[in-house]
Amino acid sequence: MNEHEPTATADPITDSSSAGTLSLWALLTAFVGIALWAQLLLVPLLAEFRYTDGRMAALGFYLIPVAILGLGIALKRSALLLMLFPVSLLPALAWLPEPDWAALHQGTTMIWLVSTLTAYFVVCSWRSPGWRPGSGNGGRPLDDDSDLAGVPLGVDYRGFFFSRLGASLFVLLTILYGIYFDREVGELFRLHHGEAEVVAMSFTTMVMFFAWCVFVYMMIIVPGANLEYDRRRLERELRQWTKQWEVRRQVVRVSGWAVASLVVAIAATLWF
Amino acid sequence: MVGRIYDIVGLGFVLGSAFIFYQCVRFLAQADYVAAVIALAAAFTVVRVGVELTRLGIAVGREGQ
Repeated sequence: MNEHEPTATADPITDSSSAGTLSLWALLTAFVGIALWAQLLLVPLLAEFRYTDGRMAALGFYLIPVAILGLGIALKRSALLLMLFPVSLLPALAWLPEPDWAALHQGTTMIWLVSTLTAYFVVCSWRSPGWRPGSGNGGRPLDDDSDLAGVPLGVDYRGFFFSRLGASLFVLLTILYGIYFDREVGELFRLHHGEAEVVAMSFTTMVMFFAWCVFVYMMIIVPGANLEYDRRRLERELRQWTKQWEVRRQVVRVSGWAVASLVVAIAATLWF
Repeated sequence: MVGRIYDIVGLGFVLGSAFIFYQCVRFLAQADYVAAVIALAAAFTVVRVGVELTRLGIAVGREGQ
């Protein structure tokens, strides 16, 4: 019998509880997502409706994020919710009229926005909605390290993780310094954007903050969390490759000697 | 020892990417959006190299044990 045969059976209690958690997750995601969208785009959207010569393209850009949010929740796709929904807000922001941009920069609006964005990411990533333990890979463990069980970790992973986290915070502080405190950059903003300086600074902050989030998630957190797994997989692949290569090398060696002896035999026959 | 060196160089790459992110801010301030996108791609590439160096350092460090 295959030792990797799936042994888990369906547990109706667990299933029903996870379904309950999922619906709560969907409600929370919808609530926070709509709150984020409304903070950014509801007022400009209503303004577009108020005027008879409303821009159709702007209407489309304002409403596309809602459609993506709804689709992501209905299909329970993390990629739609965590990636496409925040990205779809950016073109809409580019279409915002200047007074709305300026309004975003007033008082504590930015703090509320960043808090809502953070809450949205937290709620969305609370659980992976489309996955159940044992549902993928035919019930087999994804990383079969039975032969490496008990091998101690060779590296201080906490040290790795926190040093990278410190470096990423340094990058964030550099970006914020560049936008808000660097005189030269401030002068460039004034020179190239004139009266819309504050708007341009807000736009730059949002774009760079989004880029920083992507940078931290994709370049620091994901590789950092998978270091040991990647190392073991690399070891396993190398071992596998070496085994295959060993056979091939044997074949090449024997064939080489066979050809060489044939050549010598033919040469000797012709010579004598 | 070699693994530690790789690790430090990798961290240096991540820290060094801050300069490219700063340049990206400068380009955005000048409304040069194409240059900003290129700088952003360059920054991501530099960070990626740093992460790969660190992983190499970990593999080498493990090999030396």
